[in-house]
Amino acid sequence: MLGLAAGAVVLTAADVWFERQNFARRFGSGNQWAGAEWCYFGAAWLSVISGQLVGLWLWWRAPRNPTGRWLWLAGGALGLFVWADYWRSPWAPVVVGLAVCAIRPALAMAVLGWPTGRPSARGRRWIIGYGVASVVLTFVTALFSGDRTPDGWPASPLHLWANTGVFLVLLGVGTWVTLLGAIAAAVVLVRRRLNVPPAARRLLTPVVIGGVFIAGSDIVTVLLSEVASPFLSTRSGQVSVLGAVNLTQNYGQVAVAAVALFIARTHRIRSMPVGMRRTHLDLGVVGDDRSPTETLRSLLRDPTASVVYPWAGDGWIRSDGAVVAADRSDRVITPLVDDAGDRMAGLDVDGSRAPHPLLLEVAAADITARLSNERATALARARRSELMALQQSLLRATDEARRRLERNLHDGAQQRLVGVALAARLAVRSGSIEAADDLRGELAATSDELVSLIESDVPPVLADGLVRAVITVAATAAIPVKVESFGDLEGSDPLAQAAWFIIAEAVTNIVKHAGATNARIRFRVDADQIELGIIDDGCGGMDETPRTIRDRVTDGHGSVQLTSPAGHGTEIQVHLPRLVGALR
Amino acid sequence: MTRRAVSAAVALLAVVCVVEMVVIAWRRVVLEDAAHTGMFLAIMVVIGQGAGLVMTWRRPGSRGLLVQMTALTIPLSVAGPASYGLVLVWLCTAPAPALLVLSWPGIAGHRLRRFVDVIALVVVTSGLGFVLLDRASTGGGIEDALRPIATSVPAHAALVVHAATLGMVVLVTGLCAAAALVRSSPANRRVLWPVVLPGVVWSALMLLSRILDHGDPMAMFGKPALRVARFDPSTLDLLSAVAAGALVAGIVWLELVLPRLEHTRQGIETRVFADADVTSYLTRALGDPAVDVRYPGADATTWISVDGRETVIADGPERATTTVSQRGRVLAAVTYDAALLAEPETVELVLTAAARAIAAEHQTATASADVGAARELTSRLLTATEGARAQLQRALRDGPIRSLSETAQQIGPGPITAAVADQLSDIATDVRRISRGLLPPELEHAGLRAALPGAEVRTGHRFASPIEITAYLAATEDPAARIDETDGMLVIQLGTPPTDPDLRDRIAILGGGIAGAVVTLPVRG
Repeated sequence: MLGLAAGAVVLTAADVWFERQNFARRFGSGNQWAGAEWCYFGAAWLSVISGQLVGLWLWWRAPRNPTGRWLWLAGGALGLFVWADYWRSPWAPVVVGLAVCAIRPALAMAVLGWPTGRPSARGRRWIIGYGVASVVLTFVTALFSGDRTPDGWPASPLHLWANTGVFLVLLGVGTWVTLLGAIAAAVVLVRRRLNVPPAARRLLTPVVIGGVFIAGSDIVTVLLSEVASPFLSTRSGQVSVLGAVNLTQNYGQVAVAAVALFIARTHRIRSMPVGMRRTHLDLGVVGDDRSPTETLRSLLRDPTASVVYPWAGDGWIRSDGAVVAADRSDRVITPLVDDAGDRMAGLDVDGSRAPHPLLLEVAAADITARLSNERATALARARRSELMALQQSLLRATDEARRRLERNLHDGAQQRLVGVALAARLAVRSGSIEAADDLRGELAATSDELVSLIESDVPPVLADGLVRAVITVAATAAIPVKVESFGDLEGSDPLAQAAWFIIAEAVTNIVKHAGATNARIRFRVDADQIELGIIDDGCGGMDETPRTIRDRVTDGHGSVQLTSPAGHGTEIQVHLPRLVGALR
Repeated sequence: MTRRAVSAAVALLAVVCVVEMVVIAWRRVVLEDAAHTGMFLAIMVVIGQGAGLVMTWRRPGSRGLLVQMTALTIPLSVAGPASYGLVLVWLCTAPAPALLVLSWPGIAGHRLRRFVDVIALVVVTSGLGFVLLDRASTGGGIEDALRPIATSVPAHAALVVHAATLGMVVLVTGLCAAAALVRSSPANRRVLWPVVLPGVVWSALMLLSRILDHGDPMAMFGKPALRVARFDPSTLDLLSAVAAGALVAGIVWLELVLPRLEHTRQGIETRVFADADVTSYLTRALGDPAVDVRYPGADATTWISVDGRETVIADGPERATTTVSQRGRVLAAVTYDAALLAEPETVELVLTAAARAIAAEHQTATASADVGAARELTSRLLTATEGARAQLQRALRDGPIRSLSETAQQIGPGPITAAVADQLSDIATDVRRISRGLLPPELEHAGLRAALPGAEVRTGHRFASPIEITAYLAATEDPAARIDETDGMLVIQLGTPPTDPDLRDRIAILGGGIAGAVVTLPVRG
């Protein structure tokens, strides 16, 4: 790294020296550009030096960030171009061609890749493709230029054939490549600026402005020179309109990029060391950003608008996890769907304001890149609310069961036992023999009452029926468990208790042993039987149904079927005949 | 595919038109100034065609074709009657800007658009008819086609129909566009004015131009044209062409430059539905494949990943950590190659750019962790409930039920013994103990004060059942507990912090809190 940087410094110094030599030679000699010479040459020199120095500075400050290297390379290529342009050698066109072809891709890497210096994979592919196309077109075009090149290139080994027709066509293609590349870069930058949340704009704005200016200079130059050049004055020795634009395009681009990058880097947040290998960075207000809902409200000027997310079938939730009421005739929700047509979010707006469909599309584009996290947060909050509601109802059911049992014991078995004990004492005193039979009967009845109390005690989780109990079990599982139910059973139904036990046991096994990422519970309550299906996408390979489940099924006179191919999940199918209980 | 082919054909036609314009300029058929302007307009035509092609290629159902047609109307303004082909193109594409404006959502209703479509068809047909009739009567040569000299009455009639119907289309467009802008809400204007403004200007200039240029009814009878204006009406043609160019620019801005997603039948389609993943962004940006991002957990000592799972920061001599905070609140800890410490600017730039994504992921991580905690709590509650129930059933089976059975067996054929009577008293006491162990009946009937005679209960109010039961269970942990009601909270002061995990869970579920030996419960539950 140090060697590279030293090499870069030496090259930059050499570049400065060459430029100085060039300047002295050209300024003194006088040529066709005479009067405007100082302007062109000064601009070129300034551009090369600023690109090289700012590039080096960025490189030195952040060696792992390639931005500095790209800028340095662009400056160097420009220097090479300026130098080789006046190099009296047949190889000069080759050097000029290579140097010119290197400038734009290097600038694109620096500007489009800001602040990382590493554009996305797609961006990188396009820039490399553009660079390669430029090189190929430049040299293939040169092959056909012969001696009759419009700008008077010296004859060189590169110019093999003189074919004006092919040359002009290739020149036209090359122009279009430049034009389309510049338009694409400008559009990418403008869209990026519009897409970037306000928080990061400060860091990007100078580079976006600089980048658009660079691309704009290319577009204007191409259009003016290709379409309107016959009508624009280009008198020698004077700075013409075309000349000024050319000046910006040829020599100013690197300087503009250098200034933009230099300014942009000052907009970063500084970190401070807080210990060994530890630093701290305070975002201050930079991390503050409008939420998607706030953005939507601002765009639509509708203070009631909000971004909502799909929840539980056809329902919607807000970003805070609150469920959106279904019966709102004055509201319109426009869904945002993914490739498969699944709803990912919705724009909930006031129907009476009738927002323009395009405005909704613009708003959707503005917020779409920020929805994923908010959606995950909203879903988590809604799930938490759901769990809290389940906790509350479970707690209430538990307390109610406890109270009921206490009442039943207190008013039933306890009173009866006190009476029996009193009767026994009286019988002891009287020595009655008949009382023994009565007492035996009373004791058996009390015992039966206690047993019946135990047996009729419904687990609190089943207090609101089987479906609710299964939902509770699914909600407490560490993996997503989907519940599909057809019909329900009262919690007091022994079959409901058996089904719930089987499901709870199966879900526990899936979470603990199956290594599954998703599970599904399906149950159907028919008039004569209930069917249960517990399916997971785990490792499979189970030889037999867990004994606890098998025992429960056997107790209920049902049947169980296990399908568990290794590596393809497990499916447990249970059928329990309905002997008691009624369809709810 | 068909639309794309048509679009390519129109673009080809435009190229032919531009070449024609260049030839006209080159041959000095028109004045030099006009040739310059023509070149300028040629650029607009080329750009318009390019934009229209891109629009159609990306979305065949879009307005790309209309944009191309609108761009095609531009050349005639200058080249004008000098070229037969350009006249034909212009006559047929003249209503395109109007159709483009009216096709924009929110400007015209469906019926009106249908009506204008029909009129536009008449415009195109009459234009085409004029050219054919004129050609038939003059035997070729269009140089003077648009001038009011005698060709044939049918040809002139076709031209008049063309002018009249085009005028109608232009008038309707202008009025509709202006009305749409006036009645739209300020928010909607943002996406209307780039279309409406050039549309209105175009229609005004077109109308004025038609009135001044071809509005002379006498012209069709071969008499000299009346000069109703002193300036050259062709200026208006040029300006209307520029307005059409501005219209194309407005549409291109809205359709191609402004980021937007497309409406489909199901809604607005969003292909990318993912926030910038902070870890992968930092991995790319810092060039370190082992970058690790962690978010603070519920307490200050733990760290969680974005999915809310507890995790540890990978530490070591070769790793460095930057904590990111906002207003004193830690948002994340980023661990990376320690060699990057030598170049803080690299890390600073990247973290500044990722600031918002970090803040958003922090929120997601916290919410996910909350869900995890709630799920665990529910699971514990479920287990505790079932455990307590099983324990109670065991206590009844192993206690009173078994004792009753044993006692019944002791009762012989003779009189009942005192031992049996004593055992029955014990069983009754046992049952009473078990039932009181559940909950005292006083709690339900008379509230906390009655249920906790040993405790200092300073409130006589009744509360929701779960609150009372929780307060009762908390207070039974310390016989000298003190219960008070302040600021909507039930405050239970204990000697020592409550240790029973089930009780702690109950308090959490009810939204209460434990601070040392003080338990607070919200009165409203």
